[in-house]
Amino acid sequence: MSCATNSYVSLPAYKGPFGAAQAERLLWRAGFGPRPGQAKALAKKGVKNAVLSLTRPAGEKLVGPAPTDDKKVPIAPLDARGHELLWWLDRMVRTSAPTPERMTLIWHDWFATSIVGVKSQKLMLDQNQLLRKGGLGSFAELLLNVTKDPAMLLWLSGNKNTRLSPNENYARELMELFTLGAQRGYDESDVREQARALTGWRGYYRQKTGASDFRYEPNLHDTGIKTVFGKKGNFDWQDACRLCLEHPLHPSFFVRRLWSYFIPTAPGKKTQAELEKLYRGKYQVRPVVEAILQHPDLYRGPRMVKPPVVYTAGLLRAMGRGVDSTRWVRLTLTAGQRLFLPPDVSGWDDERWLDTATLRGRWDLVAWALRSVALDEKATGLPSDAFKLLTQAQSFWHVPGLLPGTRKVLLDFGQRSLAAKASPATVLNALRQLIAISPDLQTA
Amino acid sequence: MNVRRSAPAVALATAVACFVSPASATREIVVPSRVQVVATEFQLALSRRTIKSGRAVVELVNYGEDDHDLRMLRLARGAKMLKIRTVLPGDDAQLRATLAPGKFVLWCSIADHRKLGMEARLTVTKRT
Amino acid sequence: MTDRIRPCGCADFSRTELFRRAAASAGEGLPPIESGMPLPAGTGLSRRSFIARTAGLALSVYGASNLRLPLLDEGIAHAATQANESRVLVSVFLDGGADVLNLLFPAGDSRYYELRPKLALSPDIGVPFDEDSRLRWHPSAQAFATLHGEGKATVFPSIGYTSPDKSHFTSRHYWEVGATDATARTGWLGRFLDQAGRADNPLQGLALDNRLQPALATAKVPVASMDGPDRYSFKAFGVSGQTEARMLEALGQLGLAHERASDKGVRQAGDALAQSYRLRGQVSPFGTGTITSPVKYPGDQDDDFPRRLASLAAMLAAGLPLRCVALSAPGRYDTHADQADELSDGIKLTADSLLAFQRDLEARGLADRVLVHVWSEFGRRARENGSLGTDHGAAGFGLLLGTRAGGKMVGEYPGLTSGLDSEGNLKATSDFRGVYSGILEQWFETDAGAIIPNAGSFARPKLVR
Repeated sequence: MSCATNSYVSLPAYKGPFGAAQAERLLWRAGFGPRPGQAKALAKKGVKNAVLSLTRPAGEKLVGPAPTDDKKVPIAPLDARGHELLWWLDRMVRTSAPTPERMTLIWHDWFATSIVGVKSQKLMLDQNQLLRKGGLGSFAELLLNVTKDPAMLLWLSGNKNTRLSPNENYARELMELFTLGAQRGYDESDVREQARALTGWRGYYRQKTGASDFRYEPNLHDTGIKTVFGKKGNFDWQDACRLCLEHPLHPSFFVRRLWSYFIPTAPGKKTQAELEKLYRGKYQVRPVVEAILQHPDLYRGPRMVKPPVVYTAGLLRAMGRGVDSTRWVRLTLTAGQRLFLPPDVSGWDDERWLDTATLRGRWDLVAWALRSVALDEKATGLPSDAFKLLTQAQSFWHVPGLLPGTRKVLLDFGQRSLAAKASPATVLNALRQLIAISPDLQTA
Repeated sequence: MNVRRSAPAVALATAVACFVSPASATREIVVPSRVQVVATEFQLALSRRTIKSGRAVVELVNYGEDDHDLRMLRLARGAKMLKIRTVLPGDDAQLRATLAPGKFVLWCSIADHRKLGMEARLTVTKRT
Repeated sequence: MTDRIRPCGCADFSRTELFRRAAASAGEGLPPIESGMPLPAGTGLSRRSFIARTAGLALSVYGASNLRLPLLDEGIAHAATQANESRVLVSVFLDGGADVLNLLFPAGDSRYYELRPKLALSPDIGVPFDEDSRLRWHPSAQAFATLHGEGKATVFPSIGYTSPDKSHFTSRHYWEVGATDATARTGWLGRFLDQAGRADNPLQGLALDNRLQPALATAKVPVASMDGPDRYSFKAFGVSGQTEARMLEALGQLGLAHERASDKGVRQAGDALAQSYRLRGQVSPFGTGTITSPVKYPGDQDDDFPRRLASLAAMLAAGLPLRCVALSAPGRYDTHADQADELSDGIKLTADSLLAFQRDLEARGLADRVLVHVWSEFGRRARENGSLGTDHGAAGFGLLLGTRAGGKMVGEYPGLTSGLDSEGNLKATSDFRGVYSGILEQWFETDAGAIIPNAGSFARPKLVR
């Protein structure tokens, strides 16, 4: 544990060419895409140091203009609906340390909590800060902190789970979604007994400030003997978490779930076993993330569809634009991922980011991103040449190469439009839009 | 419930309103005081207890199951009643007003909601 | 202990398979129980999500996860060859608890004026209801009176169920699932479609909405929701005219170029692009900007309800294979305060639109194939409250519209003297489950017993002629 970098020597690490293309994929998988020039600079470090520079950033700076609404008024994350989302989106766009921020997003999906149940932007942001702070540290610590987090207590009825009327909501999800996986090594009796162990947390409703004053009340805790996973004891909420972590099926769940956020294909048996070994008993997140990010599967395997929020933040990063509109709240919702509003406690479905509705949402996202830089249709000084216009549109998004199929369609579009006397500015506007919606930019 | 009702606005907003040309001129920016009031059955929760006087935005979010509205009155003789119309479950609405320093009482005026607990206090302090 | 452990045996890999998903899709039943949401008092039911995804700007298909759109196209095409004779039920929901004492007000009941000193309508306005001389139509509901006069409206003046629940969510849920069962997860129309529908035709159950109407939630067959067909457009700033049309073509071409890519991620994106392009081609003919209705619908471009009904008539005329359609009427019926003003606009637009729809169907020769069911989750308290409104009540108002509707009132108006329960709410004189059973048997000619629990225990009114 003291020397995390050496502990996964038996894990395969990517040895192939590590150029701007590979560095760009890494920046999308472990962050929110490159800023202009960033992929090239990262490629110079080589894969290992590139990964470590992301997972162990030296401090964090927010680079660029602070977030505002459409009237250039600073956002109010606690007092205006949707501004809590803008606050987070802005961090994704401006951070100099994208991987901790991406981990925060992963934990938000892992411990998916919705403002519909919590009803407080402050409590949602408090939880967000907790996830950010512990995002690359100990999962054991994170789990304890999430278990007693006020937003989570409200969301999964932990604040209603008392000795006299136990509530199984959190106990069930703790095992099913957070640590073990559905029907993996526990049964209904374990759910009931874990619920008893978890009793004692309480939140109070205060006039003026709403739900607040969350604390552990020993007299609400069930002090009887519980039987969990075949073990007997006078377990409390910390034991409930510990028992899950010590369960023989926890490391396999943890590794598979964490892996799935970065790589769309299953890990090989040996890799899975080695990652479990790396994690077991230590519960450290960072070494596992570092091993996954260096794994050959990340660079050689298929592309992944970017989650809508990652896609959005990436468009703004590439454009050098900050968060300057409240429209992103509605647009990210339409694209299928409104932060702080996951569809349910199991989070978003990574297999289903794209359908006819969310694709239309992504189209609108791109249109809105491009709105302020759209060229006047009569703008002059542009080449009447489809190749050159395509090159300009590519350099707008900083994408040097396109998939052959995409390139052919876009050139064909440019040529036919120009032949029909379309203005070059119109064609360029359309090409920017089409490149952003193409599979090239929707996946990485 | 709100989804269905607000959908036309959404679609129009994305399809039509966003094609209005952007305003480029920079105007002087006035940052208003803001407070969010979350309505549930039968409580009002404020995002802060104290705000500064002057221009303010009061936002009502209905996270409840019934309709709710907001009435807001400064505890002073002749003060004018401020109102946010009925907000459907899941929906929100804003009130823009210039607030004088003082103590305000806020409540939901629908049925007996105030009696059931939907009342709160807000202090407005002088903006310095 | 080891023998209790059953490792996940899934060969294919995705996070989805790692744990159960409470997906809000029809194929898996009603929208999910919201974890963490408080239970409405006295029920075992969690509240349904009211902030669902608003993304369904076009067609969203539920419960057909294994079918790709091209296959669905074929299914729809095949079902369409048989669509011309099949009967259609349109379910129209009045959201919030429609007040029968307002819609069909008892001008001849003196208790009405005692219980509603401020809200009661004057006894000399509105058209008299010729099946019960005590009742008159709300002046804004003139269109219902017209349909009733033509024998095309069956009125349920006090419909509900025993032991009424006064929570919007719970009572609406009961109506949607067709049983007073808080745990049921499929809609009553969904269960009908599971029996009578096809595995490849999502249009058989169509919500004209941006989300699925829970009454349509199925367990087996696919259903769909569609917001306005004309809303499914792709615009970009600084691109117009012919270039815009070409840009859209290019969008489709990008899809075609990649929908069979060997890389899974690229393929997913290509597939979505191709599907979106195809869908736009399929739905755009039914947009209000495109269709020509033989009658004029009320309201303007922003009014969803008439716009959706006009599209619906065009889709039926085009032979699309629809069986059960569900949508919500405009207006706010949860009138706790300032009732009078809020009600009339919604009632008028609802009634006028449904009359226009009926005339549209008649002009297109479709009227004998379509039955419209209008319902609300409950009625309002007979006694008005102190804010010029009414609180949640019990029995409510319902209608069955169409040339094939029976046209005779079902259940009588119980009156405000002996017709109120202990809480001062109207007692039900007809049961919604009996009406559902009647619709299933008489309209869809199917066995209600297989769809409505305890169907045999409810009286069957004659609903269809």
